[in-house]
Amino acid sequence: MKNKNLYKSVTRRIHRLEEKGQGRHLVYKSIKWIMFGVFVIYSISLLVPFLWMLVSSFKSVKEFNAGNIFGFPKEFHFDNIVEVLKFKIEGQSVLSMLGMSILTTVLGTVISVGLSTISAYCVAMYNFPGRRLILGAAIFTMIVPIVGTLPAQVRMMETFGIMDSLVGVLFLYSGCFGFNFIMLHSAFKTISWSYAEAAQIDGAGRFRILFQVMIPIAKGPIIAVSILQAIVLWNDYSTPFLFMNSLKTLAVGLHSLEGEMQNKYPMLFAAVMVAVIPVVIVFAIFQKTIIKNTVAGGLKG
Amino acid sequence: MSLKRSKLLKKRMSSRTKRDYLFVAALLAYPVLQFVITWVFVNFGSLAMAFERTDIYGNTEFVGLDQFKWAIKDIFTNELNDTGVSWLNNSSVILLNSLGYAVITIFVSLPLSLLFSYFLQKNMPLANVFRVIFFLPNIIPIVALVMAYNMPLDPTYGYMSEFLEWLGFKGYVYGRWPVSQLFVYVYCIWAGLGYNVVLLSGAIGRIPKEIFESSQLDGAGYFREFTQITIPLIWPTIVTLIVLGMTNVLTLYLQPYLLTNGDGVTYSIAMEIFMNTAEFNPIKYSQMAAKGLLFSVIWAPIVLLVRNRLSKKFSGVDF
Repeated sequence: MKNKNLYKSVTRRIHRLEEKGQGRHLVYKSIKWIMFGVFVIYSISLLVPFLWMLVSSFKSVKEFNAGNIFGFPKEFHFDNIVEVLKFKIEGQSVLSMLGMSILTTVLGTVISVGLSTISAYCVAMYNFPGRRLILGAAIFTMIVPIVGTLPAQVRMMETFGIMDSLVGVLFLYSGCFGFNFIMLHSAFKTISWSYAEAAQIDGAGRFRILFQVMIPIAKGPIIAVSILQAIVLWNDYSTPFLFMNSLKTLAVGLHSLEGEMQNKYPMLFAAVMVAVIPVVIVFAIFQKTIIKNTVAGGLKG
Repeated sequence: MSLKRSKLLKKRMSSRTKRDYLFVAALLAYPVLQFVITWVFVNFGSLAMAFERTDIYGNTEFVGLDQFKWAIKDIFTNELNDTGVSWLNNSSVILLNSLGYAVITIFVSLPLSLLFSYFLQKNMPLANVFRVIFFLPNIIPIVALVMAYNMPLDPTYGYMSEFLEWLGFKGYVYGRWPVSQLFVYVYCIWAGLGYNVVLLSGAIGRIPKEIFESSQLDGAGYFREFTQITIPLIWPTIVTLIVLGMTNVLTLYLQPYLLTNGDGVTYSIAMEIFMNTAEFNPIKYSQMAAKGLLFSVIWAPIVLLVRNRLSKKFSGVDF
């Protein structure tokens, strides 16, 4: 008798729990779908402006100004990109801005990531006096914000006589104890020194060990850091704006172009696409390497 | 014999360490030199500049704390006021605008991106597609991103301006403070979400799946899992983002500069410094150096203090 009651009450309780669980499940499912909706809206808000610019860059200026703002182009018009590349701002064509962008990005990335790699390798693998000081300084300068140093930077560049020149911009980009240094330092830390010892027995010198053994092993993180650095430099506005103003890069020129193209939006959009599409393609190609080697490394304070 | 050998070994060893030092010195010479020169020149130069005054003929003289006095006086007594608010002026509104960046990044952007990252891990359909799309703001040139935000609001061509009108924002309201500043904040949230989500979902991804499974077996729902497991376990990353949000007060300038060029009094501290430096006028250099130093001396200790306090809250976790 007592047992039967107990059995009943237990089954009832289990039933109630299950019902509650199912109710909860429904609530969770709807929360998840609401979040899905939010994700879709946010994604649309990111993608639509660029798709609109892409589609509109194929419309003729006439067609766009006549009122076909949101529709598809009646006929695809490829002249905008040619015309905008020939367009000159302060005597410099957009094509030459594109060239400057490629030049500064390639040189800047090679110099900054190259130097970061070499110094991260030295600090991670060799024991020498001042090693901890370098590491500490790198972290300190990343954490402590000091502002108002921009005028002093300008004065420094004036003193060195490298104001308004590619050399000056590259000098600023060659500072290598930043985020990349920390990332590559932790990458080299995980590599065992026994590879180097094996190479040493085979008679390899220090430089050969660095360039033919260690750098190939750390290839993944180095490529990831290089791509991210290249994207940062391609997009950089303030350094070329302040220190190389007479030779504009595309990122700088685009802002001036915005003012000049008030009634020729399709041409402006074509220029935007010239600046955006290379980055998207490079990112798409290296996406897996980047995500594997940077997000996995993480960023912690 | 054995003594001789050990001596020989020692000699060889020391010659090897010597060569090691030589190797390291050769490779590190330029990077360290560049760092020291830039750092010393920029920081000490800036410090010296803050105590100087340059006249219109280009002569500089030491003026002690005059520039700092000017900076403080400017905040309280600037007579220009385009804000439409009586207790503000064109200098003090800059502080308010700048502090706002910390408030919105910490209290709006961060919770939103935490929520985004948490649900990205929850078997969300199309999660990988979303991840790639959310990464886009990080790789697109900021000038283009600003245009993508601005164009839809264009009064003649934009599709969003009609929507805003329908909501009751008639005319060019985002040209006047405080709507103009709000407009910049919304941009920062919109464009900044992507960066935060990448970092946070990376951190959440490093938490072992077993922890979530066992908490679900114990009957924890979304809310408890989120607040009692996810947040404590990725706390170091959250602290980093809070610190970054606080340093935004002193460092953020490109967004308002490119969006509004200062129209509708949307200046931030760093933007005032940037725009005055970009005029390449030596008279203003010292004023800006003093302002920058003043705000750094006040704000940087607060940032470090908050960072220390927050780091202690959940210690011993590392994902």
